[in-house]
Amino acid sequence: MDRLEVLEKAYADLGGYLLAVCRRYVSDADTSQDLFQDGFVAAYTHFHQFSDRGKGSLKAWLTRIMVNTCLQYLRKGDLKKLQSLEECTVDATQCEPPAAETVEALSETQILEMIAELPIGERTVFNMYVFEDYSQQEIARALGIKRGAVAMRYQRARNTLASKIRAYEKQS
Amino acid sequence: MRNKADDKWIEALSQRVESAEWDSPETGWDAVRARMESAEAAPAGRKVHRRFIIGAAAACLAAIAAGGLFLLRPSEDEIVGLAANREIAAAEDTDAPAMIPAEESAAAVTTAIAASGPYVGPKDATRCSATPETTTGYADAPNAAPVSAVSPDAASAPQSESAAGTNAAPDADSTDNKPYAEADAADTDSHAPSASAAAGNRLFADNIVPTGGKIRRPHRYSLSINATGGIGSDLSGLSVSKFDAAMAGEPSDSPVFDVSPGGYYSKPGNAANYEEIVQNVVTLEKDNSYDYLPPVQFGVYARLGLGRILYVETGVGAEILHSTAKSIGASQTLTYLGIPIGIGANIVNKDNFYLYAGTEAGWARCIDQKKSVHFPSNYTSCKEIPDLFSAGGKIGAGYNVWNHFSLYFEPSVSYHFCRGEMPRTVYNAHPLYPAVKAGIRYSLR
Repeated sequence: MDRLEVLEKAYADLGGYLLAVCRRYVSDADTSQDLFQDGFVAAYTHFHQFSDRGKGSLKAWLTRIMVNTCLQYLRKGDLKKLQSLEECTVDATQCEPPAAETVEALSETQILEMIAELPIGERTVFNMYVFEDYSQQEIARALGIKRGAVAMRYQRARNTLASKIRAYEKQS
Repeated sequence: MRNKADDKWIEALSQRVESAEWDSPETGWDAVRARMESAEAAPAGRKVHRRFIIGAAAACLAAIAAGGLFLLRPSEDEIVGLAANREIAAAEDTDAPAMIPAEESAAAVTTAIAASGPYVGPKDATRCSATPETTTGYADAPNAAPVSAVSPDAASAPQSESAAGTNAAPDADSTDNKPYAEADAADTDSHAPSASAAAGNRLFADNIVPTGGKIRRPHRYSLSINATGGIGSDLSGLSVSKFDAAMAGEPSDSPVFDVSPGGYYSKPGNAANYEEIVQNVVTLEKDNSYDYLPPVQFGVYARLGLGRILYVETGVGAEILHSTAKSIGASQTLTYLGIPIGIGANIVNKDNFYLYAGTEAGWARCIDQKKSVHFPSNYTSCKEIPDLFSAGGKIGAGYNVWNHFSLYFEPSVSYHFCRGEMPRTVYNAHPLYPAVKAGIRYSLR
């Protein structure tokens, strides 16, 4: 199978998942669609760098490419927003962690929408730390911010999400 | 940062999102495929950008080199001296006949003798097939009365003799003891020196004799040993007391800065005021005032000359950076070991004095870290500290004090690239930093 066939198959099998990865970082639907395509083009041109290490390796590689493509876009366009600390609107003392069962009751789309509503800097840090397993130091380097700022953003994102989930819990 | 594994709901969130999928457009693959094919046909924009940067850098280097060559073009007396050297070499080569007419060859010998001064003795002149009288005359000239050659009259006489004595020109005798113009007018032989050539020879004599006629050969290889010190201190200029306020009430031995996963404040029971601590760290990093001692550098560098003008330089150097956080009196000393690579040009090389300018890029790695417990750094060991990259320019002056040894003085300015989160050093506060180097240089040749 040549690389075009491999990527066509990956597009069919993993397209939805990879698009969701892009949507986690960029809330705008059209932009995330563009970045998703950019990611595939990047995968095509750098396919020689991919080493097949068994099942799941292509998925992991493509996910990392999508994340890097999104980060590149965010750095270019919204660097100031990415590095600035927005006003915190959530009172941390009122953010009791929601129950795990409540989270499990939410649909995937609802969760993604809640994440997409986070301010860009907090959203990026939260995504990288929780879903991509970047270390605190790696995030600081990737975004050009201090480690303390990474910690603060993660904390804010966590509190905001917690308050959203609890609000949903009360409504339902 | 709080460990995400401690939050069960975060873990549940992660698992839900892991399996999340978004509907990809059905016709999407065709669009992606078309873009892939066009991307393969045309070079990627980033590559073009990189090539542009590399091209621009090469053009800058070429411009610097061209500028250096222009500034360092040899003076007239150097040209004369080098030309004379070549002609002597041609005359010495008995197997290969000289390509220039005999009269001109003789004139060249004259020039060379004058140019070489004490370095070309009677032995060399004899080998140049000159008559004994001519040889004696020229060998004596520079030693007996070198300044006399400055006078056109004094110079013209022996040169005319040389032409007559070394060639079988029919009217050679008729030119004896006459000025060049007269000799040319009297001599109709096409091999006789022309007026311009004669004037040129006078020019040679005028230029060479006052400078002693010494042909300087630039050193090709040199080895230099540097001992260097930076300049400036306490350049931070920041003083904010927020940190003091934030620290009020904290015990003096509190591990305030350890907010990393697994650190003091991530442990159960210690994380009550996590937010406040994070805020303190951020405030401190933004506002705390630091004192910096001047960086101290020392090292050994080797320089290789590329022809007369350009040189390349590299070596190994160490640098010590000391910082003190004023508010808490904690300090940190970092030692870097680095390899600089430089290129430059010799601007002046006269007598014992030389002047040069160059550009330099360097890479350095931390090899030793000594810090107080409370110093606000997230790095607990040298291995974690990012490498330091720098680029800059310098101008240097040296004086040859004895034999192959010279002393030099080298002011420079370097820009330090702080990648990611650098430890608190003077280069964080002032990436563009001046330094002064001084040292001793030993030249192999």
